[in-house]
Amino acid sequence: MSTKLKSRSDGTDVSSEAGLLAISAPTADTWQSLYNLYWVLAVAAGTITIGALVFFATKFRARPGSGPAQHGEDGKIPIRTVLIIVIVMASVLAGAGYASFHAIGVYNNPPNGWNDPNALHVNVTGQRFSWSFNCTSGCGVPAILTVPHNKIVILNITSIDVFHSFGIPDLRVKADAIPGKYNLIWFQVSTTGTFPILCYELCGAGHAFMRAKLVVT
Amino acid sequence: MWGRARFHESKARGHLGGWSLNTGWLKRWLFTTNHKEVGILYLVTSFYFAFLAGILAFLMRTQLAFPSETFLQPPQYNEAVTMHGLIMVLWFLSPLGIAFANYFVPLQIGAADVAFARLNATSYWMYVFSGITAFASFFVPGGSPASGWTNYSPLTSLQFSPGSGETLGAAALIVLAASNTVGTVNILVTILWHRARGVSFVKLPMFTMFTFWTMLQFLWAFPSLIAGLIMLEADRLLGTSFFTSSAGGSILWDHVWWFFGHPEVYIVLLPAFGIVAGIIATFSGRPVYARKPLFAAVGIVVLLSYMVYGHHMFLTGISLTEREVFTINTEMISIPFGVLMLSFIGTMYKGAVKLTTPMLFALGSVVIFVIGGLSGVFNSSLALDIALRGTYFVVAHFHYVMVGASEFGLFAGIYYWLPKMTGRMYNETLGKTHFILSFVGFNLIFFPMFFLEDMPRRIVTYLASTGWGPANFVATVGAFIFIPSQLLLVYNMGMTLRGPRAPMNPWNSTDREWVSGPSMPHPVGASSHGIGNGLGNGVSHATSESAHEASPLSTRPIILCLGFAVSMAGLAFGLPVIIIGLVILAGGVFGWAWDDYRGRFRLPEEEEGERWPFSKVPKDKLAMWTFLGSEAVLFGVLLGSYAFIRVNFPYWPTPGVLHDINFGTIDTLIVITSSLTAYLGLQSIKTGNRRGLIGWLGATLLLGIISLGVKGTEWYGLITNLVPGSPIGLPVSSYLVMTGIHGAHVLAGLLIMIYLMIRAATGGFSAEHYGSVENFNLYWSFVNCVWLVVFPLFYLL
Repeated sequence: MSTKLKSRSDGTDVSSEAGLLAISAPTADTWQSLYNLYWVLAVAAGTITIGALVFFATKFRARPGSGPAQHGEDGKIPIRTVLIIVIVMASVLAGAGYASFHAIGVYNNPPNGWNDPNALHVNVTGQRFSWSFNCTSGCGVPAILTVPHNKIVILNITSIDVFHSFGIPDLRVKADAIPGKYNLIWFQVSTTGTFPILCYELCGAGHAFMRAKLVVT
Repeated sequence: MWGRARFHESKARGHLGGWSLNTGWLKRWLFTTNHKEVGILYLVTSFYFAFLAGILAFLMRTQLAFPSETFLQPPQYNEAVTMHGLIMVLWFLSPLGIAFANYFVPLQIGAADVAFARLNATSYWMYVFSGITAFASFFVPGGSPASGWTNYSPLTSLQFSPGSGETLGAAALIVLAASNTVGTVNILVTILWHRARGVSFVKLPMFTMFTFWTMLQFLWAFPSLIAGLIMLEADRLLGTSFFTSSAGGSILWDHVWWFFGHPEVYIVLLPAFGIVAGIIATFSGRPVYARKPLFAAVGIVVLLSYMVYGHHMFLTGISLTEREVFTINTEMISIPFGVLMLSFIGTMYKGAVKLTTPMLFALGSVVIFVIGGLSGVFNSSLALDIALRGTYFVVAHFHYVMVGASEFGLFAGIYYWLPKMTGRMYNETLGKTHFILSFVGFNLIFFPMFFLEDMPRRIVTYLASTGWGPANFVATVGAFIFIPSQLLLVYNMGMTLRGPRAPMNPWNSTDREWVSGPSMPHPVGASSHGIGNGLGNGVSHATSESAHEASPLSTRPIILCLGFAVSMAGLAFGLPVIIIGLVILAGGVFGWAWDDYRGRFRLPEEEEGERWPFSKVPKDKLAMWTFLGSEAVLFGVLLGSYAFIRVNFPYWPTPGVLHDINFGTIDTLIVITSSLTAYLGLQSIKTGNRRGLIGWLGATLLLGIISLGVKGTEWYGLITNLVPGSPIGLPVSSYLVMTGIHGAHVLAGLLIMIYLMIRAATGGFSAEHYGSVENFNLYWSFVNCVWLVVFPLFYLL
């Protein structure tokens, strides 16, 4: 599970050309390696904890005829054990947090900044129940965002009615689309293909059908 | 059946507001104030709500079993998903914890009953009526709330949810939040003030200790919900624009909601873990390992729980610094949970573990929590959250924590305490079968969802090409195992009533609720043995009778709560319903005050036990302080929302334009003076001067009325300037709601003063007995202090 590298998601009626290939996008790569790291840590921590629990519950099973165990008095505080747990957990979490802070740097810093004149700037507007795309070079017809591969794309996302959330699951990018607010995300895809765009916040009866697609040419 | 055991005893109970009650189990259950009976009521009612919300889950899983199904229509699905969440969290899981708190906290600390018996019934009936109100929303035009349990704005606004279901749902939530506040004050004071000798604070039994911390969360989290709902209802009914304008809007709702919503997760979890801790110790035959660190760890969880809610808002566009702080805080909260796990596992070390049904559920709860908690660490990461937000990964995570860890823990408690509550033994084989089916079914539902980390939440259907089909199918199979298997629990509980008699302490527990007799220093509550009393548990009849005497019947709570709920439901149904509700409410309040005035509802004085650290503080005063603690959060959230709007609003009128500073200054001087007169009234009665008390209270009353009059004048000026039909601007909105809530508090104070004056005139107070006057002074000073913050913020800045 920790080596699961590819999402199966599509969500549009168009089959994904990139469906079986590894997508090469900085955001997706960064996210996936972070995700894998967390899975490794979680599986390790889970195995130790659940293993200890099952081991203790089995090893110290009451034996028939052994009588009730001693209800000893509340003993000394096991300061050392508690401290070890706290320090180990704090260290692992600090490492995980550091990796996360490193990863968010990729999301927050497009290679040439947010005002990159060579990037494709697209205004994305959520409206019940569709996405519309607007840019100077005419990148989008309704519900289809067309961008060239290897191009840095910067999206400025908002909504004109309710709270939506704009996500391209294959690229691991997402931002909330909130009326009156503008949230920026960026991505760059080195392969061509079609990727689904979905709404990730309940926005009413048509929430499930608020789909669009990203076509990378 | 539950009723028969004490059927005959009800005759011996106290008055019923003027007319004495004959037998009849229905009347007894309706008017009881006994903590055990209220506990049973809570338990049965919460199961009823779980049943209803479980059916909704069943419908949703059926709809999602295959791609492109059309079993449910999108609006129906959204109603199901919303009500399932709201009811399971707020009307099932946390009330089930409260049910145990009602029943077992007094027993564990050796108290005869909870601190305020009638308030206990009050919180229960508010809970019942709020649930009925919430379900009624299914039958109003437009259907129930359908914006998700988080009620994200502006989807909840009148524009996007025009039906009255949303209004009704929010009204139900307000009643529920009030119920929780009342219950919280009660149980907190019980734990702090009613411990028997020998039950020191640090030696509290596990469940009581966890409940104590949980109650602090109830106390400080729910006022935020009330504040948010008041603003939401104002938006929907009065035309204000807190959550529809861009200065407040979605982000303001997010802050207010999650400041309540995230602690609510721990509110649901911690009572269950209290039960788990006790059960693991009992069935390992060992004391709880690392008891004091555990105590501290839970306290740290409570503290941190208010500082992590921002992880629900990572993608809303809050600053990087905020996101980093919330990431760190959220990661940190897993450390005290690590200490909890250490304690649970360490308790079994060198023990004699018996895998009975309660123990299996307790261990199952811990195993599932480990998975749920570790998946929570994923969600704490500001980077991973980008892809995980709003997906089934999150659904899996919080169901692991709330259904798995919390519900399994609470079910462990049911099996564990059934012999105590009924005096009978449940069927162990059925119990174990229930555990196995639940554990397998649960994991089948939710483990596959961890791999749907790209499937959006709350979608009614999906296409086959997404590849989400197989995992969803497995989840539905799991649901078809898990949900029906819960009927085994209900069946087992029913059969327990006719089961074999249970010994007094079947688990050889050392906790106080199981143990009674001369070995314990002060076995007051511990000796009265559950509702299955008189079934041969070796409890003397006289003892249980005296415990009974402690809680006479009262018709007032149910009437009061009915009135409150009807008046709140009137927000959706119109003014006549509000008026009917208020009349009923007034009847309940008046009857209550009348009972007090005539001294009808008297509880026997309890022997003084452990009251650290409040041994010098009278009980009522402690309750008032606790209540004011929650009020402080209510006003804090309202003022915080005001500040939030103020900072984000581009053109706020300069001081003096909207509000006349002279008016405000006069009002402030009146308010300060009224605090002084109220204080002089208190000083009068302390020296035995009744006339002085009446005089000063009269002066305070007059000043309060004048103050309300000044505000009324300002309101009149503002309202006449409004353009009919158009939304009210934020500066006026925030002023009206803030001063409106404050004015309502002043009005309540005036009514209390009238009551106090009548009591004073008829000799109700003396130099020794002036507690109510003192508590009123506390309340009045608090309300006036709020004004001293409101005045500069609205008039001068």
